[in-house]
Amino acid sequence: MMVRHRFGLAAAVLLTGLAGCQREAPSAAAPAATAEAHGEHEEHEEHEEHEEHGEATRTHIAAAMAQSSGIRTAPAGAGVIHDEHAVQGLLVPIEGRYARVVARFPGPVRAVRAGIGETVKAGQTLAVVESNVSLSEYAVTAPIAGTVLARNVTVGDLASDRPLFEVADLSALWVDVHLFGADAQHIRPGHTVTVARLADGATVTTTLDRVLPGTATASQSTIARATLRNTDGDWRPGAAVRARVSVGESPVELLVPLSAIQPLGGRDVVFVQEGEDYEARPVKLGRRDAQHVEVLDGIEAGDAVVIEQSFLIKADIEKSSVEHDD
Amino acid sequence: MTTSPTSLLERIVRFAITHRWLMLLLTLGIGALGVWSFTRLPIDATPDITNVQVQINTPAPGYSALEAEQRVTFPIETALAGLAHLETTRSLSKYGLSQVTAVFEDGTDIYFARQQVGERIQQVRSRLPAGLDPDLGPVATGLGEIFMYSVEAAPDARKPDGTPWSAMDLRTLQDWVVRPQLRTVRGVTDVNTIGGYERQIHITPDPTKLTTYGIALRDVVEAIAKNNENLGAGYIERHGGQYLVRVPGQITDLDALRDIVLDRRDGVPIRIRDVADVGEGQELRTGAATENGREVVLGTTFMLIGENSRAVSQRTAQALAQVQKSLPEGVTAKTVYDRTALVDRTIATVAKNLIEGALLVIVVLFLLLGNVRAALITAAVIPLAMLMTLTGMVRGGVSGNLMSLGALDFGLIVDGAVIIIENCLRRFGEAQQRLGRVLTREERFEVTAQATTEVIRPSLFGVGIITAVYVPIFALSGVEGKMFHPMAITVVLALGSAMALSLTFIPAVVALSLGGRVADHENAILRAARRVYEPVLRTVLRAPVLTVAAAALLVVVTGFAAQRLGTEFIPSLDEGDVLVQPLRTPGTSLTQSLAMQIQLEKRLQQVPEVAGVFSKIGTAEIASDPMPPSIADTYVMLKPREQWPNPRKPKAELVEEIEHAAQELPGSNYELTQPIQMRTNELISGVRADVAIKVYGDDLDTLAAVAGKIEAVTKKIAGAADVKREPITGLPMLTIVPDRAALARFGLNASDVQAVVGTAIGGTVAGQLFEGDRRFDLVVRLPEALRQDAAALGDLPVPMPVHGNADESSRLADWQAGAPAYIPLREVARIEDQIGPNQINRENGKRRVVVTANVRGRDLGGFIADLQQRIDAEVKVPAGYWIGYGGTFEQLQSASQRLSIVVPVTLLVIFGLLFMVFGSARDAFVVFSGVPLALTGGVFALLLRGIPFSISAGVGFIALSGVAVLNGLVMIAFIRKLRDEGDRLEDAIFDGALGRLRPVLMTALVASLGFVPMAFNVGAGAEVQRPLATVVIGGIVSSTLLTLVVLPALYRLVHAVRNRRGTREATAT
Repeated sequence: MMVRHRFGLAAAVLLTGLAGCQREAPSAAAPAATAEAHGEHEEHEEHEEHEEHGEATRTHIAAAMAQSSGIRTAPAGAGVIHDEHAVQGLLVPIEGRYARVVARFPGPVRAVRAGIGETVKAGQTLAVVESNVSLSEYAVTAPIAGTVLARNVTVGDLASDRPLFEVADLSALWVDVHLFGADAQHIRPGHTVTVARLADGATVTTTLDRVLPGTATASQSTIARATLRNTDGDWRPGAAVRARVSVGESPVELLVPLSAIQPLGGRDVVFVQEGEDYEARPVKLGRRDAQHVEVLDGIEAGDAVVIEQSFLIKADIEKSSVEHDD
Repeated sequence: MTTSPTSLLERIVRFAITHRWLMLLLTLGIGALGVWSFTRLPIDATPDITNVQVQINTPAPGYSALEAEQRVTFPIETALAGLAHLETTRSLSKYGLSQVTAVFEDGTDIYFARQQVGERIQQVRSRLPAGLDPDLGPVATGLGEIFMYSVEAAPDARKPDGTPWSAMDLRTLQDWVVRPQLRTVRGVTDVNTIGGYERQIHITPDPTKLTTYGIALRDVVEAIAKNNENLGAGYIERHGGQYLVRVPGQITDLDALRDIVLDRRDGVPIRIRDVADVGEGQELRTGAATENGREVVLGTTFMLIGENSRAVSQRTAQALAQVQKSLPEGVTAKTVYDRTALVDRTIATVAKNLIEGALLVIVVLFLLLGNVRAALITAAVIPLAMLMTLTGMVRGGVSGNLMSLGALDFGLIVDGAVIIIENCLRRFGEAQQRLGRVLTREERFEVTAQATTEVIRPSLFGVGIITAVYVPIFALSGVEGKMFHPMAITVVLALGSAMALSLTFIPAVVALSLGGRVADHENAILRAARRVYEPVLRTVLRAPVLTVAAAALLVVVTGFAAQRLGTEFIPSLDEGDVLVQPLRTPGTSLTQSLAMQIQLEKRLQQVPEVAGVFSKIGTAEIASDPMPPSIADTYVMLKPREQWPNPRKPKAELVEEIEHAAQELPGSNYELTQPIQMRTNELISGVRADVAIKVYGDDLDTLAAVAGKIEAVTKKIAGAADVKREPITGLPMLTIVPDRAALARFGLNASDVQAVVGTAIGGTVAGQLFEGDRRFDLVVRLPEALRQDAAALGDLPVPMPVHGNADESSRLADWQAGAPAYIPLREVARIEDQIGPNQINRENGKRRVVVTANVRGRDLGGFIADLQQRIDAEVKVPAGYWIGYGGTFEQLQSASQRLSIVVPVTLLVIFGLLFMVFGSARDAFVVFSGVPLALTGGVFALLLRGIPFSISAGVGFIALSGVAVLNGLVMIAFIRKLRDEGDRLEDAIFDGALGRLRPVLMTALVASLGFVPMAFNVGAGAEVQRPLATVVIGGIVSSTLLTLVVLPALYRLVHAVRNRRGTREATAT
């Protein structure tokens, strides 16, 4: 009787000891925390869980820390949304300032007075042709002032209905830009165009003169045309250029930089600073351009919105739900 | 069960005495073997608890989680099915990477496993997308990352061309100078690189210029490919000589690249330089590295499985010193993490404990035996047994570490020898007294043989029993098993060696050297002990019932006290360094993470105890540890304790301070652990929670929804703690969906759009630039400024097919001539911001989402039953989806089950052994009663020191049971001998108890003192040993006191009953 009791007790102590140790073990070891750090850690997790229930939307960052982390705020306010499109364009001579010079009467060319690239005045003699009709020589003159673009004639040629010269006034050029899809619908004459040369990046700003009525079948694009003053003479017809068309400058009551917007919980939010607290405010966004976006709803004018390192605040708010997952 | 004079044991002892020189020689030989073995013993800080696994990493540049899963992970996973000894496969697919891990049964040969996996990979290769190459992960375990170094340039160092060293230059040096040299170091299986940028040559065409010329991105790629080949054209024979013909066409420098002709228009060649910039560019990297607040390049060497980590790190350090000579001036390769330090510290702790323990044992022996030579002979058993153990460890593939060497108690080991020597001394003394002269040689041999044989059985059985109690440890499986098996093996080896020595070496040496006058006088200490013990014993024997009852009460009280002990798993080894893992929100960019990491490092450096900080952000080149850019491993290297402002500050406090410092910085959550610990946890992976509810199925949203419901249900169940759902989504994605209708309008294919976006954003490798051994990818990609501009993406020109057949449009020939040959991307595709899957996990070939929970304050079985019932009732699982239960609870249940069989069996075996010794169940029981009595001391010692119950402590209790039995054995055996010689029961008990005071005290003292240094050491690794040592010391003290006091009383009580009955029976007849 006694024997059995004692034996049982010994076994029980050893057993419960080992088994107990086994059972409690992993919970103490998880999640990869040192035993020392564990107590602290647990407390931390509880805190987070609490936050999680209330869908965390705000966080606290001390001013000094915010400063050193590069967090910057600026009051939200009114501004202008520049609706811009980057397009490609081609420089062409302006139709009315381009002339093909033809000999009025066929006949041999007796003299050529102008070469390619030469600047000519209106009425200046370009060539002398002996008319087959009158057998007298007559001068072929430049119909407009401009630069000789092409000279398709040499002395002794027989001038016929083939143009002898092409003369164009290059002091201004057309920029033809191709507009695709929806852009063609809302781009109108008068919109600002900034044209940049590919070679050196020099830019000129001008406005759209007109949008041509037709559409190119293959590319379904429409041409918009602007006039460009060729001040330095380096704008050459035939050259491709980069252009930015400013479709509209819409003044809006409230806008924020794009860098202020972060996705949080499936919605777009901005972070508003209140003292050392930052609150995520879901916002309804309107029109946007390359730098700014209009805010229709969610914040008030004058709210201090985080415009730099807004990701850091998003990260800080979201960190409660972050876990190690490998 | 009396010892027959010709018993095997006696014959062995007599043989040993007769051939004593041979014995010495043999012992010497075995010792030498041990020394040799020692040089070959793999030494590490902790046992390797990684399972047998093969990782298949397939870098899939540009692939998102979904594509990586569909195109790469799935085929590989399917191919692995049905491998021999395969336990399970799991996989993860994320941006740019597919990782499949095949876990094999424990004990599977790693090379066999890898070969099998390799064969299957070979078969599946053709089914993978072109250009993707699955790689097997390095042959390394969780302990494999033994050495890390940074390649960095002095701030004022300049390249030969006068510019400062960039992160890319350093990376190039690492890739082509440092790494190749370190990879050849013996024992290193691979070297991993993280940080900097792999050097690439970027050809960045201006899209406007391309469209102007009507040249597509792919034309650029093709032109480069066509102009960058060398050709061997066989040989020709000329005048009897043989000339090899080769046509070199490779690009040799960037100018040659720029001059490649794309097209010829009106006789004018259009070259790459006309449409694109060519220069060094940055790869789209997946990881970065920082050190002390600046970007560096980090290298990590992986140690081959089974190598000696200490030796390999030392060799690596030497090799790195060599490498330094080949680096340009101003650039250094600096060690930032070296496992040697930890191993040395840990081994130093173990060695210190062992040496101090051994010294204490020797002192005790000397004090109690009063004979220097006898003490030295006993002490000699220590190194000899140790060397034999080392040989066994090398043969058995057990590495020397904290766990295997840490549990050795020399006191325990010499117990057998102590008993023998003590008896020999006593018998020598008696014989000398009887004869009144020094013994002759023959007499001495005879007495030695007799004295040894007299106690050899109890002592052998005692050692046997101690060995037996370690058996349940072998029943542990999984991580616990891997952790404690080495300990059990080592202890059993050591005890076995000691047993063999006390049978052969001890008698031989005693016979040889204990000539002359042997003073077996009782010294002062023993006389004092005896003076105290005698009256106590007398009192106890007078009131045996009371004594036994008091003892029983004590045991019961202890049982209750034990409930109050805290518990923990295995006390973690203090690695001396801290690993801070910032977890940032998914979708954090590498650049953002890097900036935050630099802030973090600067902050952590301000902690006075911190010597340096370095971090790995994201995934390294070898993706053995695939972390997203939002996670970093921050290694916080601490100064040596002496340099701390307060050298006595507890580590826990410092860790807390570090965490607080880190918490000051916004945007991250932190997990604090230690380097080896973290790596091991990652590798054994998966789920380290009590309960894991796994949902398997196809659709990620459905999986997430079901998991969400399960999470909610689980949270409501009593006892649930830390309920967490694995996040699967949350990664922001820019999805460019080709618009089929628009594509049709323009006559484009979806692949045209994909190719444009792929090349523009991701880049296309068009070939390689060779510089000697070094080779660098030639990548065609959009200029960085355009890539970063999300708005500009819509303006990306998609080249239109050239129409040979003019149709409607020919009517407007004028227009067509001027019409562009491209259309902007936004006309043919929708660009959407989406939240996509972050990482897709699969297990055994199916998508899986896990909800984990720990169980607190409730029994696991009940919790599981409740959980299953509630989930069945409340969570509706759609068709094609199913739920599985897993987690450590399975392992716990099976372990408890195993232990519930093994522990009683072991106890039965011990009891059986005792029964064999005594041939009496009563005596066996009396001796056995020492076990609970010993446990009381262990429990109180833990309570006293405030140490929680852990597996370490559990092992201590196991050892304790053995020692307790040994004590009882010695005493009861002697009492029985006296009774057999005809003494009355009371006299036999009294004389026996008193006569065995010395050996009992001695074995107890040596066993407990042997552990004293371990219990109080504060060095590296001490925290793992402390609970064990504390339990043993406490237990032995209580066990010894109780053996001396309770045992005689109990024996008397038990035998008095029998005697009375015996008397009654006698009168009846």
